[in-house]
Amino acid sequence: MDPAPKDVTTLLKDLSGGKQQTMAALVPLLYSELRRLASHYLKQERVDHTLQATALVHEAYLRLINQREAQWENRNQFFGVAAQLMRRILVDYGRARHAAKRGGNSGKVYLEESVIVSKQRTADVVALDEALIKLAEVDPQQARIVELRFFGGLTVEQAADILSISPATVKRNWNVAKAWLARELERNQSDV
Amino acid sequence: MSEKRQQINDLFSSALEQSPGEREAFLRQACGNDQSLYAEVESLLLHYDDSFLEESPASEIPSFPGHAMVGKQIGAYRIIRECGHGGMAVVYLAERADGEYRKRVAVKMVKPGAGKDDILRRFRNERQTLAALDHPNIVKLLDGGSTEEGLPYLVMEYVEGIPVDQYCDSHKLSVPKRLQLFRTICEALHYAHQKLVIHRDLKPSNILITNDGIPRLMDFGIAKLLNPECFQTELVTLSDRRPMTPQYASPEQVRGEPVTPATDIYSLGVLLYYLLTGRRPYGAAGLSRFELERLVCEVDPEKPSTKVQKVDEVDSAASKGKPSTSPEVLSQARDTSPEGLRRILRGDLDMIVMMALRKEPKQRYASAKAFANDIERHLSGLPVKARRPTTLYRGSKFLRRHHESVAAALIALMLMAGVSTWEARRISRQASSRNAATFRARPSVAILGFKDLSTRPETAWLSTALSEMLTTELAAGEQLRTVPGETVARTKIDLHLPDTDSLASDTLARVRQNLGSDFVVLGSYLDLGKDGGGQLRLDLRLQDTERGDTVASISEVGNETDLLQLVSRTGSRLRGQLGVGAASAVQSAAVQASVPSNPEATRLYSQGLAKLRAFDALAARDILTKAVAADPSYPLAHSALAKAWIALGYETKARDEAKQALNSAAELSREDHLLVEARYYEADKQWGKAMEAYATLFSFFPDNLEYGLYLASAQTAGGRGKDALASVQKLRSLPGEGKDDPRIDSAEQEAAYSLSDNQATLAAAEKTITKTSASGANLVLARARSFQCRSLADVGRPEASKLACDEAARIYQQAGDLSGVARTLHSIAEVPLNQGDLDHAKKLYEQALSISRQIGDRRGVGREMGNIGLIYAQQGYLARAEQIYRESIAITREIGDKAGLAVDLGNLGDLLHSQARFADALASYTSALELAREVGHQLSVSIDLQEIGDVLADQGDLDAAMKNYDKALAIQRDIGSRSYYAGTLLPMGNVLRQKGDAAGAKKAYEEALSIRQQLGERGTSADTQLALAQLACDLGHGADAEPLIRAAMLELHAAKETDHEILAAALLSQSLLQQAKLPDAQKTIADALKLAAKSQDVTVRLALTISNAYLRTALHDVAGAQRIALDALAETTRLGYVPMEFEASLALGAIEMHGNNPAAGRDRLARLEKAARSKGFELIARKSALQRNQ
Repeated sequence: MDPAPKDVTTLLKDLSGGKQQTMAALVPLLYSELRRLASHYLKQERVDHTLQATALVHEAYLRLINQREAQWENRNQFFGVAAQLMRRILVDYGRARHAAKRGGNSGKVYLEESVIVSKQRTADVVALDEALIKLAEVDPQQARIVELRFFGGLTVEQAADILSISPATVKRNWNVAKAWLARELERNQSDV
Repeated sequence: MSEKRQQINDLFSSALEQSPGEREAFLRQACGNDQSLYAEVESLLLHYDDSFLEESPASEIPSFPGHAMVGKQIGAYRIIRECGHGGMAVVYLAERADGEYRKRVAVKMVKPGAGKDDILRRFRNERQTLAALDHPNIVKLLDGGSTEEGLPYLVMEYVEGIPVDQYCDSHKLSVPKRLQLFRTICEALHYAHQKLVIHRDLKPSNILITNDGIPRLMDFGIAKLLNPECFQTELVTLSDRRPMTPQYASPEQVRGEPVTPATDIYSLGVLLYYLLTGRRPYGAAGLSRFELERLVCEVDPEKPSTKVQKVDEVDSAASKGKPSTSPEVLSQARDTSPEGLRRILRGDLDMIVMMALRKEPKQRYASAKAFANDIERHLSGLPVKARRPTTLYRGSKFLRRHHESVAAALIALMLMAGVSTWEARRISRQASSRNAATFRARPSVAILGFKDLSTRPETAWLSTALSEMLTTELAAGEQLRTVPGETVARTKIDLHLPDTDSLASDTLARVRQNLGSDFVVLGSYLDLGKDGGGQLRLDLRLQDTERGDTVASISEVGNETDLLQLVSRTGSRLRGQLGVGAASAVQSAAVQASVPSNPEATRLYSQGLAKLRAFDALAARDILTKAVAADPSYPLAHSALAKAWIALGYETKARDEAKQALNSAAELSREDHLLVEARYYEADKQWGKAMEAYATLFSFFPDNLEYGLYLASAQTAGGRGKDALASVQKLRSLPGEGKDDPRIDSAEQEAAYSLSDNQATLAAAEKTITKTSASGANLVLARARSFQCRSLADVGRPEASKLACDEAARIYQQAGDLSGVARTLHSIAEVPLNQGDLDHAKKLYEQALSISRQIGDRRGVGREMGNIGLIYAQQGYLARAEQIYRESIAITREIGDKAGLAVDLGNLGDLLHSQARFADALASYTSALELAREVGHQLSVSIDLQEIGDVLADQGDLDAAMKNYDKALAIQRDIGSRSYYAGTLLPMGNVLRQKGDAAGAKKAYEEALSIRQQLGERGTSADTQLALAQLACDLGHGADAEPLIRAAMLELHAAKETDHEILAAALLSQSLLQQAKLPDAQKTIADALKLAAKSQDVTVRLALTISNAYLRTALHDVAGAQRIALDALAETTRLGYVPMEFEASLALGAIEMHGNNPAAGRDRLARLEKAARSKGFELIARKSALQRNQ
């Protein structure tokens, strides 16, 4: 079931031709690979290991792409898609843990409501996702920039390339988005 | 993005470039008086943190060097080795370092680095809770404390023993002994539950049996800390093939839903299953974890007695590397034979286990104690409580013991059956007695559709499929009102709603305004396709349209080949969020019936539906034809195909498909069944029954505006415009927001238009336009514009009419509704048509024709051809017109478009009538009448009756004509069509005039005139004016008639109604001769003759000829006059055109009297008087007598 690296490379090459079909074929492959990598790392329980989304994305890229054939601009495209998928995968994490935390909390607090994880982190990803969806309602481009930068680990320049806007615009929007999101997260916290 | 937003962005960025100290001043200056702008940017600046989000999101797995602890001392205990390890904690085997006896203990502690306050607090809570558990069958908490670094730890009893399953097998425990042991476990668990502690991870390895045979439950509540598997929650669960034991996990755990004591009961059920059968409920080898979880959530396991007979299954986890456990081996381990084991399990034990394994927590045993009790009852031979229906079961058990009570029990059963039937009836009566005044609106939900993250064209259909299925799922049980997918599709086009994860509150408000739904469901899906095993993940959000926020986010994973399971899981979670109970089994069956039986049919159906909603009826027809082939018994695909045929104009095929839908609709829910039924009647033009079906639906679901609208539209379509208006009034008096829906006004405008009430149509259209312009319901707006366009054309406001139509066409074009564009072009054509610009009108009809051909709309093709024929007829190309009419008739007949055929036959009748081909015309009209009667279109019936009356009058049968007019008027009065009522009064007045009833005629004409003036119809009042002028001329009051005629002529000339203009000229000449204005008459006739050169209308030509004959007589050209009159007489005789023949005869007699042969004239007039009187033509008879005696 593992995608052969060559397939993905070819697909990626086709991407620059702007073929919608290609992107479509790429998405499931990438999604599976990212999830596989994520779960792999979680099982490993390696000493001092921190699972970083962006690291995962990069590792997926290295695994899937034949480096010699790949082109830079396609690489950015790749990360553009990966960022979107990574976001979903991480939100899954967060939600699963949320759900576990809330488990059985119907009036009485059961002892077992304790999938003990770093609360701060996971809550953040889910809340951030919610906030990001709201941001997309008012400013889709800013939301996309956050997705690319935060979940995909892209630089300002790479994000600019994908969105076909100037790096300066990305930077400006990134700053506004950060402020907006920080505020939104704070509001939600005070709601709870 | 809004302008405001851009402004905020710019200002924020500029402010950020200032040094912090200067920002406030900068901002104040930049914002000026705009306080809200200032506040927004300031608030954003306050929240700006450069480092925020700069670090990538990380899911940390803190490390813990376990081996480093070995040998160290914690409190009084020395660590021997690590024996468990989890996300935040680790467990060691330890022993007392100071004591004389070497008591072994288990020490659990928090990992360094994970010691955040929150976790430490939890750990302390846990210690307190565990300390409260003191039960002989539960492993005890001995001690606790903190390390030097401040990390808390717990010390627990270290139990030596073996897992319960291994113990049972190695001791070859019989089933009753296993049950005894299990009962003890249940009791221990019950104890814990009463202390509010849930285990959450019961499985054999957590239940140890000591050497003394005593069960000890361990890892209570701390399982999550110890077991790394549990740490990795859903993500891992979903992802891979890793060996693990989700076999003991309950459906709610798999779904990440709240855990309750019932969760433990489920796990106990799995344990019992395993102890009894040696197999797990879902333990097939090679099953992916994902598949296993799906089974846990969706599929009922086999009964234990069935499972033990299976030879081939290998339990994946337990028997890896071991020989397969055959029924022989299993039964031996239980001290019995395979058949013996099966018999022991069959019945009570099957039921007990299955009860514990129910998917729905509430349907399991209410407590572990109840579970234990039932086992106890079974062991004592008492009836167990596990089976339902309980009554039936008791019957069979007592059958063995108390033979005499069987009859009584049966009677009791029958009585109960009777009660439930009666209950059912009462409920349905209650439902039907709900009426508009008393109902309480149910919460309503609209499924807005889902974005396809895979962006593959071949997975796009899933959005439709998921939406449709979810809509049906939520509708089941009738506790929620769901907005039909069709309406949602229209609104999405209207509001330009993209497929998106979530909508902002203002968009939600607009959705609410348009759909009237309290909630919307939307989101995205990702289909991994064949390579991903057909996996499908659905992320959806439930949003509250009133509050404008998100109620819930739900993610579910399923499979493309089994959407229903995915949808029902999602549906039940949505129901939970909406506070609505689960659907019953019967309702679920109805949902099942609302979905095709195989994935191929589902895909095709969804694709077809999407095409239909995108106005591509041709593609929809092709795909849906395949869908119907893929699952011929799926009613909704037939229904959708019927709609495609309707859009393409094929009424016969549509009716057949609708019939098929009805035939296979038995399993559908009551609501869907009624709807399918109504659609069939509609397709079959059984308007009465269609109205009845919609009325029933509306009475069942008075909060569902759609049904009221369907009813009104069926009434309009069935020619019952007045009833439709009454329905509209009813809709307006609905409680709630629904009554303001612009579609109600739209229904009113359609009803009014069908009654040709232009003023009412315009008023209703105006209301619709005001509301829809505000709400953005574009397609409803376009429809209103097109009705406005037609009515404006009818009342003589061509410019305004054109503007309205242009806007309609633009909206339709934008929405991709080409059929709408064609229909609008058709309406636009009415303006030049009315203005006499026939070539322009024809061009528009031809454009509409070409679009209709392009989209395969046969009905449209027939309609446009019919209209092009009409223009040819008006332009005098009668042969060409007749040919086109006959082509159009062939099309409308082929597609079974009875209404269109009736129109064509009517038009052909008109054409034939104008050529005085009375018999042919009569045949054509009569066919049209039969069709109109068949389809129950009352208005058409009345028009055909009137036209038949006209032919009969021309054939000289005035009485028969009168009878037809009377019938026509009765219908028109009944359906409230004032315009056509006036239209019938006119020829009726003519007949009355012929019969010599001048007063009656005058009354009829005046009534017609007054109606037409009220309706604001232009052109038609000229006809009535002329009729009144004719009456004046009959009395010899030519001077009174003249101004009336001249006014009418101006109007007719402007409207380029040439034929009518000529008829008016003929009459004018008559009035001028009466006033002896010879030169004027001469000029009038000369002009008219020029105009008439092109006219192909026999009546026009003959009327002019006869007037000309009178003129020539007055000019003393007797010979000329006589020759013309003789020709006219010969022609009218040949045609059988009786009134005209009498007129010609009268003229000829008068000429002869004035000329050289008064005797012959007198004689002719005497014969005419007699002949006319015998046919009831009193006016001619009187005129003959008058002439004769002059």
